[in-house]
Amino acid sequence: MKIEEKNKWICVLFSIIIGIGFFTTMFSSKKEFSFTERRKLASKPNLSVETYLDGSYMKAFESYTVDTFPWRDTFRRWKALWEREILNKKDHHNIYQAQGHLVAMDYPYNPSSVKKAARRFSWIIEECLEEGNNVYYAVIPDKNYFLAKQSGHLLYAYEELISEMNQEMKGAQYIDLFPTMTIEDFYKTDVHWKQEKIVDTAEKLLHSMHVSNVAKYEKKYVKEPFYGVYYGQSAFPSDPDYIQYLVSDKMKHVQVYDMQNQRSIPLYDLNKTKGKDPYEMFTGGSVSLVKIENPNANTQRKLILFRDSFGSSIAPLLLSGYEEITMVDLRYLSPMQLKNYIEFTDQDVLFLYSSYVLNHSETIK
Amino acid sequence: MIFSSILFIYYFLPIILLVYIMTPKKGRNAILFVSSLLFYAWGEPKYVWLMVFSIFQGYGFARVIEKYRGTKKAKQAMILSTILSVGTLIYFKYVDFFIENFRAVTGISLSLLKITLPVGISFYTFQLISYVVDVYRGAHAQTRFVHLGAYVAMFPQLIAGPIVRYADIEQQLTNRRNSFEQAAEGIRRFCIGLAKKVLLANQFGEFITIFRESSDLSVMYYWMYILAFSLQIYFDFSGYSDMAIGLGKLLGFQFSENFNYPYISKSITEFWRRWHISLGTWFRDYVYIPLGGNKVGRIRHLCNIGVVWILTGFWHGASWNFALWGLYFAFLLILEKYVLRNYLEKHTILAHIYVIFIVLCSFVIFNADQVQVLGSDFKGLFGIGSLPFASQEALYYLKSNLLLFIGGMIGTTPLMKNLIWKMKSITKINLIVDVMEIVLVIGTIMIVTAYLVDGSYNPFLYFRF
Repeated sequence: MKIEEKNKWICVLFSIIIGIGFFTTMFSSKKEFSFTERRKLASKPNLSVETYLDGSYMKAFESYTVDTFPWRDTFRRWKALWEREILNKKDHHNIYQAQGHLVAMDYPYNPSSVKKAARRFSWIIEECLEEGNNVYYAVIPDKNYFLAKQSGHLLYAYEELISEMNQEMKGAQYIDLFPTMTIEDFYKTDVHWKQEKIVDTAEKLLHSMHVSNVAKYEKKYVKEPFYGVYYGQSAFPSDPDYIQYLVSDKMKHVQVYDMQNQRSIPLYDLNKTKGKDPYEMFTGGSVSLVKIENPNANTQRKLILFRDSFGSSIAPLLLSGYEEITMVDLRYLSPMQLKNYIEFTDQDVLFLYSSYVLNHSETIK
Repeated sequence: MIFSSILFIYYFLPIILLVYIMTPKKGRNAILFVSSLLFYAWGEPKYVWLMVFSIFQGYGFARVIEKYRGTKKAKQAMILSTILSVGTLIYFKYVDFFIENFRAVTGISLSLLKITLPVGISFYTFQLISYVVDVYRGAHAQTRFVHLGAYVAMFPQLIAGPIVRYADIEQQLTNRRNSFEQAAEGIRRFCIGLAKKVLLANQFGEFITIFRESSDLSVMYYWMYILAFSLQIYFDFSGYSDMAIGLGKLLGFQFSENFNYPYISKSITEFWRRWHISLGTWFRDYVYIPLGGNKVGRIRHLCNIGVVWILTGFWHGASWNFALWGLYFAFLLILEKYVLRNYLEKHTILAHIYVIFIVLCSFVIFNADQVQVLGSDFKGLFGIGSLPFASQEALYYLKSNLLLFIGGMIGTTPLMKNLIWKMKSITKINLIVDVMEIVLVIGTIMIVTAYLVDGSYNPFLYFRF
């Protein structure tokens, strides 16, 4: 190839790339929300003398150009693959792929975070609960616990986390869920566990709380593919998961009440499977206070479940042993306000939290 | 605005290039000046006036110097302009440092002015000083304000150099040509710079952030850190220089080289001839030689070296670690000049190891903004204390970044460049090499775009200088 010809090719192709980039960024319609990243994308900022002089306009505009760049998801995937396949990096944005699972490498152990969470729970036990309440707590291991060692990723000592919880959670009985779980219990692209795989975990909880479990479940399938939170965060290509949910006779007349928004909601909201986070279909998703009443229960026992998002999908499996379950999410409700909504008497109280949330407890109020 | 951003590559650059190419040659300096002011005003809206004022004073005083050439007035104008330039730099960059030290020494309570450092002030001020002094020394003063403005504010080199000397581009300001050959060379250099910055420097930067937040430290981790920082600062700054030179070529200019594979040097003297060349030559021509250079007594000569290197250190920032960094190099340069020169020339492998070791240690000083950090970094590097040799985290990040480190180290040598030249010389595979070159240029811009779309870590280290 002649040098002149090569130079022309370089100039022409470069011009085409920045030209296409320019025209598509300027004239294409802009998305407001990214379903893969599950976040609102930056919008075009308003220009004013004030925002210009303090530099906030420029900063916001640069975010806007990045967020709304055409083929953003494709470019993000290229980067993820470049890092993994070419640079041989072991994680991308702290997420790695092992045994078909996308896994967040939750590391290092953050003792102050765990202590903070445990003390918050402990405060509730001391200040809100009555003597008649039976108090339990359990920790849900995250996916990194199961896969880090064999895939050569960083792993902290989970025993330290449990030990820290044991020290702080005096007066509460620890239920060890670790032996009941395997990596197969989790969605491949998401942080959460699969409801259809945690029946034994629910049984372990019920058994430990001295509640009998007689439920038999039927599997139902959600048609829509489920791309979990790690799919968007990592940008790695991956097949979708498919959500399954369990129903039983006991659940037929269940009434679920979203106390935060003061409305009745379905136990499983299939409309949410088409939304930004299909996992929200379970018992209302991310709401601060939900009450589930089970008129078919053979018992008058009640449960107060302090939980994170994992609690949404296991709560229906605890219904066989309880007449009423009140689910409290301390990420959205301050413990100071608890007594305004719940009258503590003789209910069972279960603190059920994932190790990930305990290790990053800044979200707990 | 930075070059390695979606905003620059896909908004600013296409518009400016299009307008620039469509404008008749006579009007291109005006386009360049206005676009450079817009470029600067985007990132530094409050201080664009300061740069315009600086250009204005340089323009005015240079005209006075030319008018009164050979008289006392010319000298007075040169001195006044230099004082104004240096004074502006001192006020914006060093005044709080002086106040802090004055407080520490005297105990007198004085509040800090908390002035924000205008981006690029160290670079454009040095260009202006060189322009005015060159005019005093005999160069022609620029009669057109727009031309001088285009030179000082030219966006490719405005905020992180290289420090372009007026004499080097005086002719190009009025007579420059654009060709496919030069444009293609410019695109290649720009893409190389982008790759250095985005694919290497930023990745080392992310590793350093992880290291700084770690509580699982070890001796090995410290060495990985300082190696990463040395690679980051090299690829960051030389990448920026490549982009500046490339953009200059796209606009028809030829800027001097700023880096020439410094890490292959066999002495520190050689290292400084290859690292930030435009700064080194500036200090040589405008400080070292006017002080007498080496044409004075030995003691005075040593003092001259000391002064130049303290100033070089302080140029990088208003902090004592930079002064210490400068003095460290002054000491080594003197040592090489009077003691080590012959030894290093004879033992090239040892000389390479010596240079790498000295430079790595220098960056510990450079990157330690507090005495405590400096102490703990050196302790960590040399295993003083109870640190283990390796840690779980160090091993993980070594495995995860091994190819990045290897690629980075190869990238600091001319190995790839020589390999490509060799392949080009083989006629049989010439076509393949040419096609590969085109694919690499285009591939680079695409993968850099992917990083920019996904990434959040993108600061330029040399913007703070």
